[in-house]
Order: sequence, then structure tokens, then C-alpha cells
Amino acid sequence: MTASDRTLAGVDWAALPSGFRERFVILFFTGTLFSSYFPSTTWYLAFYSLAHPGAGTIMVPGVVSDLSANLYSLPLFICFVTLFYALHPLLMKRRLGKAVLLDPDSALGVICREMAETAGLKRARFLITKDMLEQGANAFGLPFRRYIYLAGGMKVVAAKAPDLARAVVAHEIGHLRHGDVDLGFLGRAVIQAMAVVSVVTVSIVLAGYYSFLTGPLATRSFGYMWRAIVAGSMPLTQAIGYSWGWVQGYNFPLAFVVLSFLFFIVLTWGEYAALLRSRELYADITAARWVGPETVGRLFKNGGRTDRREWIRWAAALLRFHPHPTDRAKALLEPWRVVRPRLIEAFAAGFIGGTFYCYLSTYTADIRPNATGSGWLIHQAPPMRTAEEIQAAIAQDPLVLVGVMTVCLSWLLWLSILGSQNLRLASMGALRITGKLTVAMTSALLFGFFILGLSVGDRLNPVALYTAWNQWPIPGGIASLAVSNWTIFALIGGTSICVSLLAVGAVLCNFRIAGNKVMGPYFRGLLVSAWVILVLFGASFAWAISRFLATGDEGFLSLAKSGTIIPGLALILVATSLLFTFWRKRARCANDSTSTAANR
Amino acid sequence: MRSQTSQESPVDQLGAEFGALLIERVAPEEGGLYPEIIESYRESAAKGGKKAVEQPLALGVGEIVGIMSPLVYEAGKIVVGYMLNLAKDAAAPRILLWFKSRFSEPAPVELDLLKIDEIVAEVRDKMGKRGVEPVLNEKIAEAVRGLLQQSPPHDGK
Repeated sequence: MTASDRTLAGVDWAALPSGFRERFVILFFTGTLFSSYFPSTTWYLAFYSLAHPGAGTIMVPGVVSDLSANLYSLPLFICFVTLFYALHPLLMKRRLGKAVLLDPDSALGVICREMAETAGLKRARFLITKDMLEQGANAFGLPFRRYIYLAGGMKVVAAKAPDLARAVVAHEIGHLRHGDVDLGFLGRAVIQAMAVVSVVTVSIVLAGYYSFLTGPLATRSFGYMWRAIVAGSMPLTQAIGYSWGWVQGYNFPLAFVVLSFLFFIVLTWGEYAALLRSRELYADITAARWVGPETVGRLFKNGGRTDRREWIRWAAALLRFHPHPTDRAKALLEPWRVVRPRLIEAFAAGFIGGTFYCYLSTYTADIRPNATGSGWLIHQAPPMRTAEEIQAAIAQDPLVLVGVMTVCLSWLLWLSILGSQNLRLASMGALRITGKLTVAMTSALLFGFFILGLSVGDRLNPVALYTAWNQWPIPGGIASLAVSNWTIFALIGGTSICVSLLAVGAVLCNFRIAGNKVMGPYFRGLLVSAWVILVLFGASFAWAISRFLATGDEGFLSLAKSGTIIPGLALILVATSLLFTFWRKRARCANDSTSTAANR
Repeated sequence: MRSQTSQESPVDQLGAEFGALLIERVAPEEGGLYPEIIESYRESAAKGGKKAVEQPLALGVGEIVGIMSPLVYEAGKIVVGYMLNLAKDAAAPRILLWFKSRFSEPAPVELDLLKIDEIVAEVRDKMGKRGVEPVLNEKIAEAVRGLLQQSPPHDGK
């Protein structure tokens, strides 16, 4: 590795961190993400049951309390996760084919040994498969035995281009050093466990077979999730509500159960793929530290995927485990694209997260006083089958499905934002090249914007507004929801458009919505955030005031007043960001300017 | 070359032998790995090819360096097929011996310049139809010509 390699693009690659803090950040976010899907309902209700013994109701024939039901399904889930994780080396070996221990004295063996020494890797076994036509490598294994599986074709690579072989091995060692193996395969195990438990659950729901064992699983795990979605989307359906008779049959709800199940699997898989993509970029950067960015970059010149259209490339990339080679090369040569956290993304992620948190909390808050276990949506005595509940919901308003679809779309957008968020957080450690203070401030800002978005999303969303409008909780149930809500519908539409623009603008247009390229990315992100905050709170304030003037209800006045707290906090953050931006402009390392100029 | 299976046709066997000589001219750095590569290639072909599946934490870039061995093996089969057609008798053992001698012995069939041109043209044509890049195709075709031309003239036996 030459000195010019080390400082290519103005980055001192040798100064990159070990990845410990990144692991922590990623674990934190992954935990948050995964727990926000399927298992969260179970966990939440388990904690709720512990806090309120006896508050829950029996959902199935037999004596099953909420607590025992949840304590039953949670260990089952954990058992599956553990099992799949423990079995992953066997499954990977089977998938990749038979392999033998790599001869340490062969050309490839020498390369592996050298790279392991360079990286300080001690406990890993290098194995090689027989397939000489395959080129590449895989890292996997349990903590006490890690493997780097080399495809047989790597011998050819070692013979024809030893430096590229070195880069491949360095990339895989990078995965091991960053803990990606545990992260990746534990995440995979979570999805596999989800799939298994969900299949069981859906089967139970479809079969309508509720027993002491199967009932809790179906009603506690899967059932609450869809109910939360349905509940959260009710205002929209009410706002545009009219009736479609044909969807009120029984088969439609059944199809909905299955589709919901598939949706959650795809959603989670997408997030998992986003996580892995982020780790690939970080492994690339680490490999560049050891063998030079130019060498690693050459790996991506030969292996480009050939998606015909840009939008296909983008869409397919959502579910792929590896970023597009073009993107990898770009990230390698312009690492700040990877390492620079986008404040607006943090805000957007928080905003959408806050909206859904509100949906969930509204729903779960409602079932607490209700204590029937069936929630506010369906006013029939439990127990009843999930499909029947859906049927009942649709019977009351068939356009509930429109709302569900809207929420699903928003979730997909959230997914793309969080994937991107992961990507940047994954490589945040590289920011340390600009100093600890910079990292601390950046992290604080990022987190601040996330929390800000969360707070805004929690307060300014259809459900929250509906709550204010109707003085929640509504006695009498769903009939009260039939209040005409075209205003709310407009707000929902506005919110959706805002969120969509935010997501699409942030993820696809790389913040070009902010326009001015002269400004630094922080400043542009800040500008967009400020505009979004202003628009959202402006709309909120105007709406609340107009309602107060129209109805004389002081509740709206207090709503308008409460809307001033978060913008106040936002202003503080904005001011901090400004200070940071100017400070950074003066003090930031020459990396950005030097390498930007070099790459223009 | 490694011992071949009994089901292997003469064209496959002789093609592999010719390819082993050809690879030394086209991509000498692959020479030592040629038998292993061809074995994998045959296994893969027997299974109808393998569909690439994206694995977590793999490198994820597909082919890193181009492998020439399968191409020269296919070129070898074209050459041998042509020669066996010329001989129209049990010429395979003699052709094998000729390959083993590294063309130091006279060719087992008459190979004048015209025939060599025909063989080279066929290689170029068939490899082109297989989608081989023109530059590589030319390199392989010229390597075939070079090998065949270094042999002493046919002794008429």
C-alpha cells in the first residue's frame, strides 16, 4: 500500500476505527427495528401484563392470562432465533458446497495468512471449495469458530491478480472484525423465526383452531399487529367512507390475513437487506484501509450488475444484500457520501416512526380501559376469530382497507429511510477522522433530529388530530367515528405527501430538493428540516386556531399552544446546527474540499 | 490431465488435452489450475449450470478475473471434432499421442495451411456464436493456429 493509496481522496485510511462503536450503534438500531415489527407486540403486552396483573382478559377458551400467553410466545420466538443462529454455519456450508482447509503454503494461502496478520485476525479458518468457476468469499460462523469460505475460483484470482485476491480476503476479514457475522446471521435468524412463527400463526388463524396452546400465539402475536394497523388507519377510512358490499364477505378478510403476513415478511427482509448493504460498504472501507482504495475499487469495475433501467436498479436494490458496484465504488472514492449522516433523514425517520408509535399507543391505550381484549374497533364479545374480526371491521367500513394500504406504503417509505439511515450510521466511525468533537456533535444532532421527528410524528398525525377533534376516548365506539372529517382527510393527505416528498427527496434525490449546492450538506439538511417543521407546525397551528374560532372549543386552543413547544426545541437544534455548520466549515479537515475538488 | 471417466467422449477428452496446451499460450498463469477448472466446468455443465444466488456477507461482485480455461477447452473440442471428421477412423489414440508429444511428432491427419485456416475459421466462428469477446476470440484463434502450425507435416501413416 503506497502513501498515495493511503491518502487517496484525502482520507487517511489507516486512521479509520476498529468498528466497535459502529457495532453498538447498529445493534441498537437493529434491535429497535426488529423489535418494532412482529415481536414488539408480544413484548409490549408481556410488560403490560406484568405491570397490570389481572388487567388482561382471557382470549381463548381455557384459563390463559395475558401474562402466560405472552410468556409462552416470547420464549418460543427466542428459541427459534437461537436455533436458526446456531445452525447457520451448517446451512451456509451446505449452501456453498463442500470445502477443504486452505493450504497455507499455496499462493492463496499465503495471501490469507498475510492479510490475517495485517488485520490481527487470529481465530478464523480459511476453507476453499472445489468450484473453480466461482469467485468470491463468504464469512460466517459462531463466536468460537469463524470461517472464511473461499470459492475455488479464488485460486485463479490469486494466480492472475494477487492484489485483487488480497482485497477480497481483506473485505471478508473486515466483516469478521466488525462483528457483521453475528449481526448478519442473528438478523437472518430473527427473520427466519418470524417466518416460522408467522406461518404457524396464520395457519391457526385460517384454520380457526384455538386451543390452550395455539390461541395465545395467534391472538397475542399476529392479531394485535394487524389490529394496530387497522385501528391506526380508521380515521382515513372514516373520512372517505362509503360502502363496497362485495368486500364484506368472509374470503376477503382471509386474504387480508395472508397478505398482512407476507407484507411483514417482505418488510423485515428489506430492512435486513438494508442492514447488510451498510455493512458491505463498511467492509469495503476497511479493506481499503489494508490494501488501498484503488485496489478495492478495481473489484467493482469488473463485476457490475447490468440492470437495464435506473429505477429497476433502485427498486431491486431494496431487497439486495449488496449495494450496486457503482455505488460501492462511489462510496469508496468519496467516503463522505457514506459517513456523512443526513439530519433530514434522521428527522424523517423519527417523524414516520412517531406517527406509527402514536397509532400503536393509541390502540393499546384504548384496549387498556376497555379490557375486553377486543379493542375499540370491534364491539363484539371475545373470543372471535381474527378473520371474523376483520370481516366485522370491513362490514362497518369497507374502506378500512384503503387506510391499511396507505399505512403500508408509509411503512415502506420508512423502511427505505431507515435503510439509508443504517447505512450512514454503520460508517459513522469514519467521521472520527475529523475529530472526536465533530463525531460527538454529529451524533448528538442526528439523535436530536430523530427524536424531534419522533415527537412531531407522535403529535401531528391523523390519529392525534382525530383524538383532539373527538375528545378521545369515544364512548359508544365506532359509531362516534362517523363524524365527517374532510379536514382530517386533508391533513392526512398533506402529511402523507410531506412524508413521501421527504423520503423520496432524501433517499432518491440526495437532497437536491434543498437546491443550493454551494451550501454544505449539513446546512442543506438543516434548511430542509426547518422548512418541514415550519410547514407542519404552521398547518397544525392554523388548523387548530381555525377550529377554535369555528367551535369555540378551548381544547383546540391548547392544542395550538402545545404546538409551540416542539418548534422551540427545533429552533435550539437549528441554532446548534448552524453553529456546528460554521464551525465545521472552518475546522473540518481538508478531506472534503480536497477530495471534492479532485473528484469534480 | 486428470484421469477421465469412462463416459467421456473422445472429443471431450481430446478437447481437454488440446485445451491444456492452448492455455499455456493464451493464459499461462492459469496453466497449473487448468485441470481443476475444467473438472468444475464439466460438473457444472452436467448439472445444467448453476444459478448465482446472493449470499449474506459475500463479496457480491460476481466474476473478479476472467477465466480462460473453459473457453480454450471449448476451442479444443472444436479443433478435435474437425480432426476426427477428417480422419473418419479410429484416430483418437493417435491424436492423443500427438498432443502428448506436444506436436513434436507428425500430425496424425494431413493438416496443410488451408485446413488449418479452415479450423481456425471454425473456431473463430463457433466461439463468436458463444458470445466470446472478439479480442479474446482472436487470441484463442491465433493460439490454435500457432499450435497446429508448429507440428511437422503429416507422414501419411
